[in-house]
Amino acid sequence: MGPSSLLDDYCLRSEPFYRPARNEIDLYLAAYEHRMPLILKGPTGCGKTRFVEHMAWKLGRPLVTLACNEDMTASDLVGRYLLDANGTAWHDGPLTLAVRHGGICYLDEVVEARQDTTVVIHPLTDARRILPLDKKGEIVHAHPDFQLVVSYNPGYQSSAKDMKPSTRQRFAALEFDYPPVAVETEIVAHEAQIEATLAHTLVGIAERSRALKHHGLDEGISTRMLIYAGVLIRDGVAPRDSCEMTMTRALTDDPDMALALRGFVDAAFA
Amino acid sequence: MSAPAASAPPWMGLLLSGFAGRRLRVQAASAAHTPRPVLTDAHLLLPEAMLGDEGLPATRAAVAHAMAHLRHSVGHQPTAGLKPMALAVVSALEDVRVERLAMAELPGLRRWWAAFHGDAPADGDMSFGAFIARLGRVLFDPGQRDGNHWVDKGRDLFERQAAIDLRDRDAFRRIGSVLANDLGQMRVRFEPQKYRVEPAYRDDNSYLWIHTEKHDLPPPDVKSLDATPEFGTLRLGAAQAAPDAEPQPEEIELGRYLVPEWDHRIERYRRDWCTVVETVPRAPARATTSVASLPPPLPRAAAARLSRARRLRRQFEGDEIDVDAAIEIQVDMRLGLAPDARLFKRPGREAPHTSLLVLLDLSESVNDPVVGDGRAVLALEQEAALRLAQTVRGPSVRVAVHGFNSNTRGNVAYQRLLDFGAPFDAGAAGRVSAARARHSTRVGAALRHAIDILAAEPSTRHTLLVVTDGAPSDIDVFDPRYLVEDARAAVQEANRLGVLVHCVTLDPAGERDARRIFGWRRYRVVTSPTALAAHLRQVQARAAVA
Repeated sequence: MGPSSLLDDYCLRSEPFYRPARNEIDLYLAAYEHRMPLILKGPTGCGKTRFVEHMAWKLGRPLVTLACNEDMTASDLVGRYLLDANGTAWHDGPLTLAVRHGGICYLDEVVEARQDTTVVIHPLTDARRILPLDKKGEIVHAHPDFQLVVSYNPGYQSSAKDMKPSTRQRFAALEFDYPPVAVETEIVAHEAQIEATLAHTLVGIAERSRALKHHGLDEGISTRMLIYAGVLIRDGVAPRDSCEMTMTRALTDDPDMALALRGFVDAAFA
Repeated sequence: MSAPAASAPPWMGLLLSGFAGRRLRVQAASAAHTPRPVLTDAHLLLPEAMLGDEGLPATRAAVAHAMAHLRHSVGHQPTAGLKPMALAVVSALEDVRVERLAMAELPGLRRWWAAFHGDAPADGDMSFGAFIARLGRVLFDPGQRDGNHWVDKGRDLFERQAAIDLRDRDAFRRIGSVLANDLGQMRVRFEPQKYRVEPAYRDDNSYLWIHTEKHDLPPPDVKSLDATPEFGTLRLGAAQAAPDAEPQPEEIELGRYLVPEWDHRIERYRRDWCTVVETVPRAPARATTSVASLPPPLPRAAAARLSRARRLRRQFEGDEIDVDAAIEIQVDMRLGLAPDARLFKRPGREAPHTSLLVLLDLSESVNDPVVGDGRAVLALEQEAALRLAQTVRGPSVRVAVHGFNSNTRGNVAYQRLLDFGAPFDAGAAGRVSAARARHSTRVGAALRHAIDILAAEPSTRHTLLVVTDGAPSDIDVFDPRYLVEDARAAVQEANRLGVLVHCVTLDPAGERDARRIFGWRRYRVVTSPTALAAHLRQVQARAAVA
């Protein structure tokens, strides 16, 4: 099996839609030029994952995505010995795969992983660019095309976790937020395939909900939720029902907050 | 005494804040003082009568109208040159104008308002109010016709300008003056005392003007609203019983401690600067609060029990095979090494031990009643602390409830109301509910002392939860930043010691200070104090998973 075919499954088949809000594409390209590790941070559903998919497609690199969680161990990242007919055999973990064969490794919600897990990326993310596999006794030198990208959501308080300073100082960071109204309208209209006027109305509802952040809402209505709402409306669901289902009920259990959100929805539709 | 004012449900404030894009409060006001809603830069006061069970359409319409003003009107314009009648006409046109602009943006608002634009006044009614109501009706619903010359003229002028530019406020002001002038010619009398803005959901338009001349309408009496109901009637415990009548000392002094204070101007600690006097209050002789009479504990958050992270790996026995361990055993066996027989995993039942200290602000300001609730902030703090303590105490969580206030740096009173490990009985509950509030808020010194107490706790996690109603202050400090910076330094000391400090503030105006002191995700602003207990519970739950 050649290296290219190993990562074939990780290559994107078609161009993922991404509408830049500012100059983030140029900044990413500049960082990739030097294979600089990147943090993408921003609220949930604002397009971080879509952005990295788009960039991987643009650069023609395979994208190895890993959703981090608390139970994840370093072995889940770098690989482990497994048993087979001939005894034990080493199996590369997803990170090692990307490091060896030149993919972009994307660790989604990196703060969910325990801090002692994430330190394995340290030697990869400085000038050494190596990944020591201590169990196997091998040092993997990173492929020239390899890049590490991680994402996290600083606003989500319940995690109350943070990255170690020694980890985060290895990264350059791009901050994402919900795009400006006009751009977000365009995105919602395109993704949900709805009229721009309807998309604009939905974005208006989201704007109002975002004003309530920190006052009972951890996060406002995200772009992703707007797209869900738009898709259901396009398929014939009444706008209020669609918003109730994809926004109000999805976002909060607090009856007061639900009433306020319902007010924004009700006011927005004739 | 009048019955306590009905409180404005929190969703109204959320709705208005969301619409306006900034924080605004909705409050109830007695109908005698405010027959119509009153809008200010920070509040919307709604007449009590609007807030009943049937009130949702009216309050919603009022909130939406206020939002229209906030978005499209310029407030506090000088009235110079406008007579009272002209002022009323211009204001009425402004109401129509901002509603049109808002409806263009949010078409659903037409339904909210339409219900209140009812029948036309009788034809024979030649009062000022009737003319304005008729004009308002044809302008709200362009399909309507009136037939009166003045009303039709008003509509034509308005619609002509609306077709050109609805945002040109000066043009509408000129139209208002023309129409008011016509009314004067028609000998229509304007009686400011009798005139009420119609429909009732519209505010009294005092937001629009600064009254600079004598013959203007008197501004509505907003001041008197603050003095709403007497507090104390519903308070827990005996704290409100005439304080000076108590014969014996109310508290027993436990010790005096010197703590440093951070001076941000010289960027140095002032050593041994504040004296913390630690006391334990005597439980009131007639403890009115028994544990049984407390409100029910809060529902336990399921997340607090879920402990995926507590799965114990590599155990000698357990209900699942630890695949990693099993593989390592196989690997070791093939390598000819002696394998480790611990290959099971089981969920851990023990949560880590947590010590939670709830520090209550007992300064004078917490005696203020919560607008619309009737109880003092203090009573809510006490109830919330008790409910929280009752809910989270358990084998793995140790809870203490302490309180503080200050009267210069020489006397920072620190009251141990409920201590770690102390039985949670009627005496403890009575001490918490009998705590008195007075003096000022020197929060930094109290924080340092609380942190010392917490850090001495043997638990693995230490959480300090501060409940306060506003910015720190003390009578011997004049620089508003001084105590904020000192408290911030105290919180950072706590972080270095591994003590997590969270804050729940009851004053939205204190948000900036809270953020400065506690850090951007370690505070929460609670604007509906009645939900305080639930908020405390959430903050505690979040701190527990940190």
